[in-house]
Amino acid sequence: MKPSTMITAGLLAIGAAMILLPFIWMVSVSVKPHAEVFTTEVALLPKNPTLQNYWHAISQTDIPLYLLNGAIVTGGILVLQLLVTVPAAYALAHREFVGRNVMFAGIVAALLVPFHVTAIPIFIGLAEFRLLNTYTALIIPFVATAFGLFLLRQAFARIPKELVDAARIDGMSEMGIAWRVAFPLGMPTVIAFSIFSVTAHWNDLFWPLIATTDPDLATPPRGILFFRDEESGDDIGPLMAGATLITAPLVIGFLMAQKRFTQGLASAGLKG
Amino acid sequence: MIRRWTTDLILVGPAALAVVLFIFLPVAVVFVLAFTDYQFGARSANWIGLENFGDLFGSRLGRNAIFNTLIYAAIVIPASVGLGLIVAIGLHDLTKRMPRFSQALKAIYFLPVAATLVAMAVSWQMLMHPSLGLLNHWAVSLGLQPQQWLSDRDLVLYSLAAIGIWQSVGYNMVLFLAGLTAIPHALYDASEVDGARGGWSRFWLVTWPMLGPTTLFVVIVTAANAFRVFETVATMTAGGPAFASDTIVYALYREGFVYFKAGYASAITVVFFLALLLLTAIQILLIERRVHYR
Amino acid sequence: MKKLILTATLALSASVAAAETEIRVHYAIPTIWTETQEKLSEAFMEANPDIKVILDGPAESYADGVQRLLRESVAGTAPDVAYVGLNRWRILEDRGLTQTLDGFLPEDTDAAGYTPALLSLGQYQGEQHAMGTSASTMVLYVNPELVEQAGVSMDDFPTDFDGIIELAAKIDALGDNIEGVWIGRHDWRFQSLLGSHGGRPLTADETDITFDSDAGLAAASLYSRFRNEGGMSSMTQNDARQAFPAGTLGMFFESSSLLKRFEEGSAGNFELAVKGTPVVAEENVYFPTGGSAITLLTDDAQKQAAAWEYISFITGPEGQKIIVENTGYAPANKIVLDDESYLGAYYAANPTAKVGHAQVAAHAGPWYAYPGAEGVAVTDLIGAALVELSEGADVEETISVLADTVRNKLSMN
Repeated sequence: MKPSTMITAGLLAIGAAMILLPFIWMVSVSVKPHAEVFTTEVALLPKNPTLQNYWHAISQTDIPLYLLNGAIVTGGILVLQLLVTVPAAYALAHREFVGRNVMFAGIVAALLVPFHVTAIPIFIGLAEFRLLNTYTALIIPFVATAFGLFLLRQAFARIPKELVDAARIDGMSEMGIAWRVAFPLGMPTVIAFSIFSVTAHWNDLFWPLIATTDPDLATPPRGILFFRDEESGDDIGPLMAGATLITAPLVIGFLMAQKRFTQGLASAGLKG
Repeated sequence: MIRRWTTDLILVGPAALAVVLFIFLPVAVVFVLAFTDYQFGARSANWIGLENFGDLFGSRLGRNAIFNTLIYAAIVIPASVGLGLIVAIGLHDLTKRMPRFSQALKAIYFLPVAATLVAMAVSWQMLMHPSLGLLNHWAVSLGLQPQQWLSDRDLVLYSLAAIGIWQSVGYNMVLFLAGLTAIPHALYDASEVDGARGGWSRFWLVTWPMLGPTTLFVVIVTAANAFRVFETVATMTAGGPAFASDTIVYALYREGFVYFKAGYASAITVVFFLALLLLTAIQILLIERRVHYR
Repeated sequence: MKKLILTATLALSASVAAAETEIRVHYAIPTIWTETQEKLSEAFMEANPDIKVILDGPAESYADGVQRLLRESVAGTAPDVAYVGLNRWRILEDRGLTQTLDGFLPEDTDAAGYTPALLSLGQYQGEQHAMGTSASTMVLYVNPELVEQAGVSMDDFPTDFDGIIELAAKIDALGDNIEGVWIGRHDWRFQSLLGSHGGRPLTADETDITFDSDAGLAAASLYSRFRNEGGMSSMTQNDARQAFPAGTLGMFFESSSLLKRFEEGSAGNFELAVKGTPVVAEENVYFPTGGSAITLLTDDAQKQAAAWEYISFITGPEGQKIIVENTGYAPANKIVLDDESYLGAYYAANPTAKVGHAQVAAHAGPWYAYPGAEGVAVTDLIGAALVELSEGADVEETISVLADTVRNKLSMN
């Protein structure tokens, strides 16, 4: 092996170690017994690792509730997004209808609008309908996904016209074609979009911070902040155990399906 | 004919309604609110023209938030694009010789993109604790001065920027790797014929020009994300100390949902939105020009 | 998990008993209050089986709590009764959210243990909008081990700010990660120092700012002296609250309400001591009283009656006994102080608590709130100015700029 290769590998490994530092610290503190956390001797790795903090986080705190809320909210968002987006993306790709071009232009324009821009009016609207502090408030604003419409339209447009026509001749309804032909054929894109959507909403803090004040509705990032402020830094072991538990689902998902994850998240660059 | 319309309506109606209701209508409303003194919960509001914008650009606090965001972006954009490129080139070189190792490194660099930023920010906050944190512990054992990473007004923005870089390097790396893989090997062979032997000249002659479109895309995406920084600020500093890490999206949140000044917060939103649109316009313009040169 | 099970049990029990009046109660700062609130509502419901208390999930801090109440009132989901910071019920009053309590108070308020001073904590323009439920003032937490290491005996512990600054410098010199003294860059801490110098932040009619007086400048200069002479670092409130129990901070000006937490946190590391905040002026001294007040929000007559039962229980001797024993706050009812049968045993077992409670008894005063819609924003500006002072900014200039900015914001020109 050439020395230059060794140097490159070495430097990249050092960089990777720096990237890993907060992960290692989080997991390390989460398995440290209380006595090792609050000492003036700071050590990267625990001397007597214990799972006590995890037990505490699961049985004594609301972390399981936050995880459940995260699943309800991200799941609800994704299901509604797909229900609304798949038929529309199919129609945009394979049907002629009045206003199609206007709608597509509208979707491209909507891609440019970050969610932060719409937050205040949506907050006021939800308040008018007495919907703040509900799961609905956390889910419904994201049903409109210009990004999903755009991504899926592009994917469905690659499906050959003949295939769609054949399905029509077989007597399939348009809705049936959208779900039974376009949806399965566009599956790689659907998965990439799903990964993007779940990651974005599982990790989001901005909207849960605004739309809910009830800790019982807290999604994982909101919940970890409730937890942190509740303990105010006295009980860092369980806090880090909680942080680990909240980060784990996506990190494990990523490690198991690296390629799909990378695709899904990298495509997000198209979004404004 | 009517059946056709009904079918179209059933297929695209819900999506069109959702986009109008949750994207276009709110954007229109925010532009109207920006010219009023509306407060959340108030029964009425007054039209105050450009006063909110005057306050934003005229007040110390408003200018400070804009300025902080620009500094943050000015650090994060070049650093995370540069580091992303370096890591991508390094990994690209290693792919053939040490495939397993480079695959593992790639996963590690990408990890922060998938991880929950708020949870990681809590971990960073502990690492940066002035007396109990690992960073200062290391600094002291290396004989360096311990730092108040998050409570020194002159330092806090840079600490947050470092975390911003930490979070986005992996994302940029992935985009650059895709760009690098797409460069035909024949071009390197051709450049060698032209006399470009060393790594540097190969880079300047082939890699850099060929990566142009990718780089532009990466810069725009990184910039859009940097201008939107919120999670780390909200989690670690709440804009403090003394507004030293107040950024535009955090100011939007603070003014709107902590101080309840919906009108003023709408004005901040409008400025934020227009800045991002300007960024996109520059992107489109640059791409157009590039196409012309070809 | 805890809450999941709890919700399930609640849902079951709710279907069993439906005829009772339900009142929803909001509170903040779960670290201090969660267990206490659960005990309070249990004790209350035992005494009043026809009223059911439902505790909302707590807000992180009083500031968050008030924001949440305002937002919930926008959303139409506000609770019936709310515990709010003693300086923050005015924000609710300002927006017409609080119901006056005048119609509910007993004829002879003194006999009920509500002294005029205690009632004053919740009065505005002659109307009773809130009742104090717990009181705290700023005290000085001390790590005696660090003091001794610095060569000073705890018997000679300084009683004035000069002495404290001198001692802080000695402790600070002990090591790289050892800090001498720390105080929060926060409106309430500043008002405490101001009161110790006999000053006030606002005029009595709230039409002008007065913290740019001589007393104000002297109080503000302590921030820069702590830094320049005492070596005070710029760590954050949370950092300091972790550093003190860990044993790396010598002296810490903080709310007396944190006593229990610091005692638990420092157990095994050192045995903490509590000192009063030094008193500088000869007269007009007061310490702004932190803690919480209870407010009535519902306008439903039936709920109001039930809610008043709850409020009078909480502010009565039984409720106060539970609050003092569980939180370490000073009580807001005179009966529990006068009648040894309530808290005599508690003080015998908790001598450190006495310092804070004695300070409340001697110098309790209102925690001034800045009036109007910009009131919250202004306290953030004050906090920012205190940060500047603790980083060496010129005292007179900073305070006069701050006073002008605040006047401007509050339209006091």
